[in-house]
Order: sequence, then C-alpha cells, then structure tokens
Amino acid sequence: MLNKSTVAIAIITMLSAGSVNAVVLDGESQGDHVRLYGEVGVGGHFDTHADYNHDEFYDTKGYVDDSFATLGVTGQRQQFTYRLELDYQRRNWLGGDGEFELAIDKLYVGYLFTEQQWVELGLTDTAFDDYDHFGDFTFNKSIETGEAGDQENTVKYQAKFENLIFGASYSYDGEHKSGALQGDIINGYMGWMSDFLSVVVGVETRGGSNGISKYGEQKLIGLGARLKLMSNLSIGLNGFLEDEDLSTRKSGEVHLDYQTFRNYGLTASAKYDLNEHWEIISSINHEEYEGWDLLAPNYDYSELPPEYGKERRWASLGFNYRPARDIVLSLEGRVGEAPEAGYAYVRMYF
Amino acid sequence: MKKSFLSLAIASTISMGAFAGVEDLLITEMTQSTDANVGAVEITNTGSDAFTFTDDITAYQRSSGKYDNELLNADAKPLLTGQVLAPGASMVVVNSRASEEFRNAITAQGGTVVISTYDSSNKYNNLFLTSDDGFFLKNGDTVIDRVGAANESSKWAPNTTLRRKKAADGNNPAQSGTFDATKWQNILPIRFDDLGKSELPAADAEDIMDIFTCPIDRSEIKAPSEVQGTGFTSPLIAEGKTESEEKIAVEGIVSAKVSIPNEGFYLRNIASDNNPETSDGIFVSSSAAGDLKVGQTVCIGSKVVEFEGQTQLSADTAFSWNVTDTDIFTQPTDIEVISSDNGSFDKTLERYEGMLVNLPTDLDPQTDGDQDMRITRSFSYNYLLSSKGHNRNNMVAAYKRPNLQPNHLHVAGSPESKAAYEQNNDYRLVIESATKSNGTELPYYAGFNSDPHTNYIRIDDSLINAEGVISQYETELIPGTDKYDQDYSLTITNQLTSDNFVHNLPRTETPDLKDTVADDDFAIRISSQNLFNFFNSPFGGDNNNFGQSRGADSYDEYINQRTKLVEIIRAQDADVMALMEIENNGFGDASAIAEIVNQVNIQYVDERPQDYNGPNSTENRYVFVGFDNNGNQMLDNLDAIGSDAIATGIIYRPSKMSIERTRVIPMPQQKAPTIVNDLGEVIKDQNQEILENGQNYHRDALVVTFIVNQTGKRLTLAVNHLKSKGSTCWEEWQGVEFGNATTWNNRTAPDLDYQGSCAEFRVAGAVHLGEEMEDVPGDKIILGDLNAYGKEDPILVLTENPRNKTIVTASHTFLGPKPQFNEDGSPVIITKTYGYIDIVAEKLMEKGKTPWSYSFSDEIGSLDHILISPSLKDRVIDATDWHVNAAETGLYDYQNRFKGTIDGTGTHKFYKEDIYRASDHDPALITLNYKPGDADRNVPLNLPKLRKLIKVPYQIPTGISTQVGDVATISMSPDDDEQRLDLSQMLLPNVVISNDSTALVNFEVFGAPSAIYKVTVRLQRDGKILAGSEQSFLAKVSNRDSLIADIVEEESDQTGGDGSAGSTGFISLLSLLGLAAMRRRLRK
Repeated sequence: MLNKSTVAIAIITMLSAGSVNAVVLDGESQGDHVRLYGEVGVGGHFDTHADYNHDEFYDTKGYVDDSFATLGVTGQRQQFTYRLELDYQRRNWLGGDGEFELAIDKLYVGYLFTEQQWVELGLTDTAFDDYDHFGDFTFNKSIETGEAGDQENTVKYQAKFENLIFGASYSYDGEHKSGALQGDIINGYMGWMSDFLSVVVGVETRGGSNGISKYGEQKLIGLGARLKLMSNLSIGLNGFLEDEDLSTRKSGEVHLDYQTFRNYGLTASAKYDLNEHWEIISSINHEEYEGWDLLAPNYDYSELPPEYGKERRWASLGFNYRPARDIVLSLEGRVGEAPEAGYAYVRMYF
Repeated sequence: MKKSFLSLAIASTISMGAFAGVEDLLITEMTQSTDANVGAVEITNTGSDAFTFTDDITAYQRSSGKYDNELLNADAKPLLTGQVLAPGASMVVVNSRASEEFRNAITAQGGTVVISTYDSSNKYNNLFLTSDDGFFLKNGDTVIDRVGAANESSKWAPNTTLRRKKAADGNNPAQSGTFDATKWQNILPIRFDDLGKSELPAADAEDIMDIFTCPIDRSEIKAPSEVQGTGFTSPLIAEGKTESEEKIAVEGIVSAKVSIPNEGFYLRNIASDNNPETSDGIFVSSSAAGDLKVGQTVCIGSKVVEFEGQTQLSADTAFSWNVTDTDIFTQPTDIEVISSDNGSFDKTLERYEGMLVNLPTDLDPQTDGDQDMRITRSFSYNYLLSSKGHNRNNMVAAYKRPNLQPNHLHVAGSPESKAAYEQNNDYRLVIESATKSNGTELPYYAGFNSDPHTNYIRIDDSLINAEGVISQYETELIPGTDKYDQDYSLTITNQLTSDNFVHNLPRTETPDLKDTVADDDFAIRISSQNLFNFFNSPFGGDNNNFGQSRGADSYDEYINQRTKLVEIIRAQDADVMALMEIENNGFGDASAIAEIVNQVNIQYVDERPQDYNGPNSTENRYVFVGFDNNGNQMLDNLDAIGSDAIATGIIYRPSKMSIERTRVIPMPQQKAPTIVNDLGEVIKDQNQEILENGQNYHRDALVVTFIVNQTGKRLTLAVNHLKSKGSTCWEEWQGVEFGNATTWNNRTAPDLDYQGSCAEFRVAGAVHLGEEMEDVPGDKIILGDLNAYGKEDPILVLTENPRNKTIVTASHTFLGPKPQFNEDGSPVIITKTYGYIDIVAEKLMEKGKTPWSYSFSDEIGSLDHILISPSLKDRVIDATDWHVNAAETGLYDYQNRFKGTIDGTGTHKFYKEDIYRASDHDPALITLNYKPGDADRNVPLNLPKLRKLIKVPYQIPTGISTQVGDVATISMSPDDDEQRLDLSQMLLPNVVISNDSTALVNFEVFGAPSAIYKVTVRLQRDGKILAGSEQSFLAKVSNRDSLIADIVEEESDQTGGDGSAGSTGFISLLSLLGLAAMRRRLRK
C-alpha cells in the first residue's frame, strides 16, 4: 500500500497540477490521445525503528529501500478512456520480503459522460483512495487511512464540478494488498473544492471474508481538508475513524471469532512554498489502534505490547527540491514515536 | 606359672588396654511408659577410674523385642562416644524431646544428661521407650549389659521404673548380657526421683507396686454412671482440669474388651441407675487386661480422666483392680434419642459413652418413621490427617441419613452450609472393629470376608442391630487450626450378617432413568462418566507427553480396569457420553479413548435391520470425537489436549447424532507468584515439593455441536473437568503467616467455606466457559466433573446466584498469554450468572431424592453435573445419577494394592467383571425427547442414509386432522441446482394414512444422493391438496458419521461478515460518528 498510494498521490498531484508530464504518443483535436507516462524513483526509509513499527515495513533496519518505477499508458478515443499502468516496486511492506516485483497497478476502461462525470471499470483505485490523504501534504505519507486502495473488479463513478466533487465505487470480492479476501467493498467521497478551503469526506464499508481471511466487516470514515492561508502557505487536516472486524482465532484454515477494533488517526500538516524550487512540509500526527491497547478486550497477548503503548505520536519536517521540471528531491526527518527517522528520495517523471 | 598362661595374660592385658574400665559400666535404672519423652536409661561407672567412651562402646535400644536400633549422634557416630563418666557417677540417656524440666531434675540429682538425637533421615537413632522396649550396651560385638528380655514384645514395663539391685554380697552386681528381672527392683507407677543418683537398692529391696484394694465400705465405691454424670465431662473432675485430684474406686461388670479405638475394657453399672441422662458404662484404658473376661466384676482404683473428649479410667497393671470371677451377661442397650438431647446426636451418644449398646431400627420412637444409622463412608482407609494414632480401615455411619457435603444443598459459606457441617459432625458415628482390620476383612462380618460380592456394604445402608461399645476420640486436625475433631465411635462386638445391612440404595444393573416417549418421538440419552484414570500407554497404547501413568500398575490391573469400564459404559446405553480422566495421549488408533471405544463396540455385532433395536445391534456402536489439536490434519498421538496427563473425551453413536462442529475451549490457567516465606524463600511441603508454585490448570473443555439425526436440532455438549479440590491454588495461602518457615509439613490450608482448594480458580473456569458458551447457538449442555458441589461458587455462576453471594475469581488467571480479567492479575467479583439448570438435582429433588455422585471422607455430594440451557428444559424426560461406584467400597475397584492375596489370575477376591466400582465417581445421566422433524431456525433436517434409505419426517400441522385414506406426498429437489445430481434412483413414495390420529408421517425415500434438498410435503384428500397441510423445509441428506473418528473442520462462525457490503453498512456508518451507541461486540 505504501508504494502504491505514494505513487498514486504523486500521479494525481502530477495530473491535477495540470502540467503535461506525459509523452504524447498520438493526439488530435477532439481530445483523442494516447499518452505514455512514468516515473523512476530511488530512495527509501532511513533508520526504521523496531519499537515504533506497526506494520509499515517488512523489516526494521538501517535502510529500507523504496525504489520504484512505473510505466503507464493512458488514452482516450471519443468518450472512451483506458489506462494500463505497470509498477516495478519493492515488496517492503509487512509480510513482504523486500524484493522487487512487477505488478499491474491499473487496468481499466472508462467512459466519459461529460467532462465532469465519468466511470471506470476494471482494476483501479477505489473512489475514496483518490482522496484518502487529501489533507496530508507530506510526500512520505504520515497517518495512513486504511481504505481499500486499488482493487480489481471495480466499478467507479466520479464527478467533478466547479466546486463539488463526489465519487463512489463498488469492488467485488475486494482484497487486501496481501491478497487476503476482504469481501465486497463500497466506498465513496464527497467534497467541496475552492482555492481557499477544500474539504473531502470519505466513507467505506466492506463485507468481510466470512472466515476465509482475518478480515471481517469494516466501516471507515475519513476527512481531509486544506486551507490556503497565504499564496505560499497551506495547512491541511487529515483524519480517519474506523471500526474494523478482525479474526481473533483460527482453526485449521478457518478464521473465527471476529471482534471489532476501533482505530483513529489524525494528521495536521502544513506546506510552505519557499520559492519555485523549494517546499517545506511539516506534520504532526496522532494515531490510535485498539489492537495496540493492552487493556482493550481483544488485545493479542501472543505479542509483546508495542513500545509506544496504545497510541503513537510523531512529527515530521521535510523539503522538496525541484531543480528542474519533473525532478523532485525529497528529504524528510521525523521525531517522536515514528516508525522511521528519515526519508530521502529522488524521483523523475516523464 | 606356665609360659603359655603368662603370654595369654599379657596378650589380654594388651588387647584390653584400650577398654580399661569397660567392665565397670552398668545399666542401673530404666524408666519407661507410653510417653517416650520420659523414657530414660541410667548408666553408672562403678569403677575407680574415669571412663571415656570410644566408638567401641555402643548403646542400643531393643525395640519391641524385635529390632536393635543403635543410638547415634548427629554425625551418625555412636551416641556415647567422647563422653567421660567419672568414677561412681551416673549418666542418663533421654529422648531427644525430653523436657528441659525433666532434664534439669536429673542434673539436680547428680546425673549427667545425654540427649539422644532425632534425625529425620534415620528415625531409629533416638531413644524412644514406650513400655515394650529394652536397652543394652555393647563392647565391640559383645553385649555386655542389658535391661529387658531380648525377645520380649509385650508391654512388659508399663509406666515403670526398674532399678538395678546390689548383689547379695552387697557389692555392685556384675554385668549381664541377659536380663534377669529378679535382679531389678520394679517400681510402678513410674518414678524419676532416683534418675542420676548412682546408689543402688539392696539385693533384697522389695518391688514397690501400687496395689489397689477395693474399699470395704461400699459407700466409697462408685458406679460408672456416677463417674459419668449427666454432662459431657465427669462431675468428679474439677472445673478446668482434665483429671480428678484423687483416685476413686469404681466397680462394674466387664461388658467388652476391645483394642480399638483404644486398648482396654468397658465396665457397666452392676445395676442401672435408671437415669437416661447418665451413661451406665465407662472405658478403662489398659494394656494389662489380658486375663480379664467379659462378665467378670471388677473394682478398680483410678483417677478419672477426660481424654480426647472421653471420660475414662486407666490402669497400668492388673494391680490396679480386684476381680470377682462372675459371668454376668450384659444386655446391650438400644440407643434412643430423647427430647432432652435437644436434637444433638452427640448428646445422645454422650449418654451412652462407655456403654455396650445396640443400634435399633428406630433410634427415635417419638418421631414418625424409622430413624436409623446410615453408612456414610463404606469400608475403607480413613486417611486422617495428623491423626493421633487412629489411622486404619473402618467405616462411618451417620444418624438418619448419610452425611451430605455442606455445600451440596446450601450455598457455600452460608449459615445453612455451616449448620450442615456442624450437623454432619454431630451425626457422625465411626464404626470400628474390636481388633484392627487388615484392610480386607471385617472382623465382625464373616459373610463379607467370604463373599463380598453378595454381602456388600454400601453408602446409605441402614446399620441395624449392631452391638458394641461407644467411645470418643480425637480424629484429625481441623485444617488451618491446631484443634482436633472429636468423634464418637461404635466398636462392634457381635457378629453381623447381611440382615444387619439394609440396602436403601441396592445395587442395580442399569440406571433408573425413564426414557419413554410419545409414539412418534424418540429419546436421546446422554451421560457423563469419570473413568478413574484410564491409562493405556504402559500397555501398548500411545505414550502421553507428560511422562505420567496414573492408572493401572500392571497388565492384570489394566485388563481389570478396562473390563469394568467397558461394562459400565455399555450399561449406561447412552447415545452420547462425556468421559473424564482418560489418558491424554491423543486420538490415534492406540489412544486410550480409541481403546475404550473399540472394546465397548466389540459387543455390538448384530447387523440386520430387524435387530436394530436390540442390545447387540451395530446401531449401538460408538465413535469418539477426535480433535486435531495440533492442526496437522491427522488424528494422532500428537493431538493431546491441554497440559495435564488426563483429559476429557466424548463418544457418541453416529446412528443417533451427527457432528456439526467441534472445538476445544482452552481454559484459564493460573500463573501466580510462588508462595514464599517472609524472607522470600520458597516453602516446601513434607514431600520436598514446592508448597504452591502458583501454576494451576483446568482440563480444556471439549465442545461438540451435534445435530440430532432426523431433526434439525443442534445440541452442544461442553465436557469439562475443572481443577480438583485436592491440591491448592495461590488463593489458599493468602493470609497464612509463614514467618521464616521453609517447610510446611502436613499442614493443610484453611478451608472456611468447605469448598476445598481452588474454588476461586474454578470460578474463573466457570466464567470463561459460560462466556464462550454464550456464543454457541441452540441447545447446550455443560457436563462433567466440575469438582464443585451443588451450591458451590462455580455452579452458582453457571446456574444462578439467587442470594447474590459475592463470588470472586482467582487472581492471575490467563487465557493463553492473555490476562483473563485484569491486567494486574487482581481478581474480579462475578455478578453475572449464566442460567443453566442443574437438571439432575432438579429431577431427583422432584422425586424426593438427593443427588450425589461422589464420596469423600464421610460426606457425599455431586461433583458430576449435567447443566442444561433453559431451552432444553421442556425436552427433559428424566435425569439421574446412578450410584454404582461412589456407594461402593474401593475394595471392588481394579487395583490390586491393599486387596490381600492375589490369586493365579492376577486378581483378588473383591474383583469381579462387573460394573460396580468401575470408577470412583457415579455417572450422571439425562434423557431428552425429540420428535422427528423438529428443527432450529435455518438448520436443515439431518437425514443420514442407511443403505441408501432415508426417512423424511412430516409433522402434520396442528389443526389438520387426518383421515384414513388421505395420501401424504413428498417432493424433493436439490437446493443447489448446479450440483447436477443423479436423481434417477430416487424413489419418492406416497404414504396412505391408515390411522385417523396420525400426526407424523415418515416417507422412506430411497436413492437420494447426498445433498441439501428443498422438501415439500403435503396431504391430499380425494385427489386435492388439503389446505394448510403443506410444509416446506430443507433437509440435508448425507452419509452417517463414520465409525472411524474423522476430523471435522470448524466452519465459519458467521461473525466475519457475509462478504457483501450493502446499504445497511452505510447506515451503520453513522455509528462511527457516535450518532448511535451501536458499536457491536461480536460474538462467536
């Protein structure tokens, strides 16, 4: 999730920024086009912290490589759109092995009803995924909203008017990034966009795996807000509240005894544009998982309680440096109960 | 002088050099009584030089005329080594526990005291004289001087002082390796005033014997009844004293001579005082009554003593009494309860203390019915803790009824429970034999000794017309106190036959359990049986992982145990059976549970359908429920459950039920601190084991959900064996002051509410079980050995707590690694109860009977319970316990130890291949009523195939009255069309109603493949469907559960969502925002 969502943010940022970073392979006046786009990024997480690791990394060590490449083709012919995106990424999430893998990240066809409303079918972001970090300006995501991310078998409707945005998606037999069944997933968002203040509220619910994996039913609500205080200073607020049912017992291959865990997270972030090359981004973060709480009724005592207790707080300060178009050098440091001490990355888009 | 003589003299001079003066050592005095603390031996140096003891001079006690016990010091060297005895001086060897006062008196009299040594690793180093012992000195291998005849095993020196007399010539006597009583002055009773003084009495010194002469003035002679008085103590003993100031003369006729509970004889009034408030008899403690005969008249001079609650006289020797050689018969007096006893049976017995009595068929003629004495502990070892020498095999009777454990009918800790405890103490009468039983024979019951299977004695037998004498003695320490219990006893003096034991609960070959049902219905019988440690690993079975074998010690015992268990299992004829105390060696082919099931099944061989209801039908075969506990997809010896060498098990008849779901509920463990003293040192017990290490376990619960065949009714059984009462938990030792003690030998923990050890821990287990079972749908039964009596805390938790007793759990309990209650281990108060019904108790109480399944000490009560969910209440036909084990003496069990002669077949006279005493617990049983077609919501009828045939039940709806000639029809179609079943063989019959009162039709459907079907049944009359007669339901057609135990995978418990995220999900999202307090706690 880490990589995908990072990239998704990057791409959305890229596309929504209006800059044409893609290589136009074929284009004509009605809007029909084929574009090739991509990214190569090298970098990773420094000094990942075993005591503060929740499920961020497959291993906690001095440097966890997060290098990444993506290559995508997107196109439109009349009202129809399509997109294919391949990722070459590190499996460095919890349970992974840190090795590279090639994965199809997106594979969908779409249809534009109007310029403001469209649908997509196939393997794509679920609706809420597009805005789950809306109020979080950091480039190395801070508090993660546990929404569904990319899903196969997804129908997504989105609309974007001058100020109002909304979207909804339905995914059949959704899966966790680990491949574990989560059941059908419905999520959606609704937001108000303006230059001064933008707010998005997202919700998600999933049907659960009914004993096939540890994931039971889930309900999630998220909020993202951005406030542009000055032309070069924005602040953001991102948060979520989740009730997630997880299995607490397994018999053979059957997961049993699902219990509800309530999780919270809140990020306050700020971005200051120093000049056209430099941005300063900082955040403060608080998150709280019931599964961390020793005194909660369903604490899993087979593991030692986390060092940070039932909640985790940290702050970050980072810089983006854009020496030229389509090149970003990022550096971030964290203090507090953060799972890593720093993050450094160079990425180039085309 | 010849050379040779000279050389001999020189040689002996040289060789004796080291022992100069040894010939001057002389044993000059001995004191001896039953109290070893005042036993002493005086040794005097009669020579003119000081004598230094070396290792060559050794001192021995000659114990009971049988054993030579050398007195050794703490370094295991001869006791006297290094002692120096001045010429003409005396040393006195005393017992290690001789009082300081006693020793100081000897020192004051000029003697040197040598205290002998007590060493727990060699207890016989100590001087321990108790009336039947001797003493000698050895020089090298030669006995040089001796007191007490070498082979004298009688109590030859009761309360006696012996003093060495001078030789006839006035000189000191010579040493003698043999004992000549005439060379000693015999003084009785014992005196200590000469110990340490070296002067010897003259050769002609008279013995000083305290010879009693009966007064001529008869007014000075008391009758036993005058000694006894009307109270619990004698009026002749001053307040606050335990013996009278002066000796008195008492005359009476010898009514009995016994050696149990104490050796002596009983005197009765020559003429009764006709006062029922006083006893007309008294016990005379004496080991010198060998020549006395019952019927003789004896006048005795003795102080009156209150000893262990009994008023008695005592005599060290026959000099204490005068005998008139009469032969007067004593008619035993019927014990009768009178109103002035005020309900105290102790008071009743006190009125007969020391008397020869008879137990009549009715002790209380003033009250309706027969109030008799009931056996409350069958013939067995009495296991008294810290007993005062009264450990032996005997029986206990109780007035009117066997003693019920106080918490059996009354809430533990309640005033009623305490009152029941007091009443048990009050009603108790220990039944003793006149001579000590060898453990396999009753001296007073020849019929039992020759044919114990016919002449058995059971708990609740009425003991009638048994004659004997009433005594009283202290039995055992009351736990947590330094006080002893006192009991009355009846020492039986007549010979008894089976007429004297009236069986109120005679042996039966099958349990008295109704299972009659209405015509179309059928009964399911469920039972619970403790298997008394059935272990097969030493005899070819799979090994268990715990390195223990608690069962049979030999192959012969094993076969005997198995045989009896197989018999008792067959006799219960249960459709599903919960087993406890079976070896925890997994579920492989060589597991203990497989062995039991295979052996039980051997009898069930009749295969033809016509025999299906017969006793030997293959339909009766059992299979055990296996648990793949290690998840390796195999049932094998590695699937042990929990952490104990014994486990629970379930067996069932696939002809009657099918498994839907199985699981093991891991039960809480206690992981508390080890009990330490004030210095933090670990405290050990008498066996060098840690007194309480804080680690305690229950057996894990086995939970199986069945579907009763021909119905869609779930029935879940949770089989349990909670932690026993026997060994302690952490709680027991809280508040006990250990000080700096590192050992706590033979001291039991306080038990104020009589729940035994670990009550709080059992509560923790009950709470967990109750919680886990709440999530199980359908009818539920918690059964097994809960190690708790009917009204003890764990049962209150699982049933109800109507008096709102404060029930507290154990501390530091964990479920796996997870604290069960509080993170800091502190206990919680349980206010929630789970509403189960103690059905065996309820049904038996309805019949005016008392439930019980276990006998401990002399109390009985139910540890084995069947607790049903209220949903089952209306299905209960009957419930009972079956007194086939606990009522019987343990002599009948499979074990060979302590059973006397083992014959050529490897067994003993008490063993028989029958059901009695197959275990130590009685089984508990219940029958439930089902009608074919009954079903829980959303559960298909379970219709197992037998030879391709199923019976589909059609419960004709109430309101539809059938007529002869109506036709019932059935249609069946697979619920899942995609299965593409081959239905070509399926025959769906029409059934013509032949009886106007038909309420149930069974369609015999042939050839339906295994699947879930939609079934529609209806009645047609004159070719038209009868309105309202149509019924539709789902039916699961399947093969029967195999007779080979198979793994049943747990299915999803429906708490993980249904996979579909829908609009209700979105609505419930509101709860996230706190708009509704809808947050769910999911349940399994």
